[in-house]
Amino acid sequence: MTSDTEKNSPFLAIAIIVTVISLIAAVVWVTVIKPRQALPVAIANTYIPEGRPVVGIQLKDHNNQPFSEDQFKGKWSFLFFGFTHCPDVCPTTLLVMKSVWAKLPESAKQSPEPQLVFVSVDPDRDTPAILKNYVQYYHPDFIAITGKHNFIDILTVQVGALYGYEDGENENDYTVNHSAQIVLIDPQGYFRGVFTSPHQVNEIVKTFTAIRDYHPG
Amino acid sequence: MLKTLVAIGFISLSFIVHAGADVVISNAWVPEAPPVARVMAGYMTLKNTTDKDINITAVSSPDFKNVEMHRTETKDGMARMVEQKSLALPANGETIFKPGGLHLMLINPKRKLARGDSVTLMITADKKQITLKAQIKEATLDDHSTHQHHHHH
Repeated sequence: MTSDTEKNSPFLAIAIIVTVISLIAAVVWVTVIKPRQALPVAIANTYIPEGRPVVGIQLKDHNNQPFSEDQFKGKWSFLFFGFTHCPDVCPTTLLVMKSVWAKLPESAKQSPEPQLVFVSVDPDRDTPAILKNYVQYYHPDFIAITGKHNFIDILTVQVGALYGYEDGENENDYTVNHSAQIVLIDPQGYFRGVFTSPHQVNEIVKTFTAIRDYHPG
Repeated sequence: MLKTLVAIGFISLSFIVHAGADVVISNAWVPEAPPVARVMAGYMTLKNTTDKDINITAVSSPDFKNVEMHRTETKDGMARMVEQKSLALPANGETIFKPGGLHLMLINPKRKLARGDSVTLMITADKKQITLKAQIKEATLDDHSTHQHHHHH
């Protein structure tokens, strides 16, 4: 009896260790490795599987109406950070998005529909009226938001966007440095993706369509 | 006296022709901007036909309050405009102002500008002044410098 136990216990111990390691490996595989590997190549550089809810937004839109995170719900939001005194990057990006809008397949325009949100990080010069004229010149459906700096910052820090001011020769001539990426927020209001610059129309169309197909819900 | 005047006349004439020949500017255009926009961009191609570098030291326009040369630089995902107080046009080289790179920053238009209008640009190249017209064109992603007579769909 005693000799039996002495014989079996190393086996038992090894069996337990192997089982535990297998279980841990299986859990890690299913929860961590597999979701990343399963990400289709088309969206891997853009899509953020973990996501993060965007909260505490208290801005004003181009019609001077309150804009909170509720306005993200039920839509795919493309956010671009800029300012209207921006001669090169902002018009080019808005033209890219206008082109994306024209090229999106019908299936990608259905509910939850996409919305382009131009976030002005220059609220001192960009009033809602100016923003309305500015974004709607590029597309009648484009919207713009801005607000006090501390409220803009609540949004920018949550989606990894940056901006800063650089003095010009005259007091009102300053220019604004800003993130060039386009941020994607999903219909549940989660920070869900980043399109890095330089922006290519076909690339954004393809990636966004693939994200819609992949994203649950 | 007359001789001197004629000589001066020839010298100044040759300067204009010379300046025009040293730096050949083509495809100058300005994308139309939203009516509220207080700044516009200017793009063009400059060809230095000489064996020496030529410096552009100033750009102005009677149609804008102020004109600056800038280069858009994107580093670590951050876009910024870097003012070029002086821009060297390399000998026998072509310098292209285009979206996402070098551009003129046309500040505070003095009148409403829409597609079809044209504006005057005055460029100082090694102390010689070149005056040219740039047309306001529909803002598109096409590089107008390669499609001068592009038809939009």
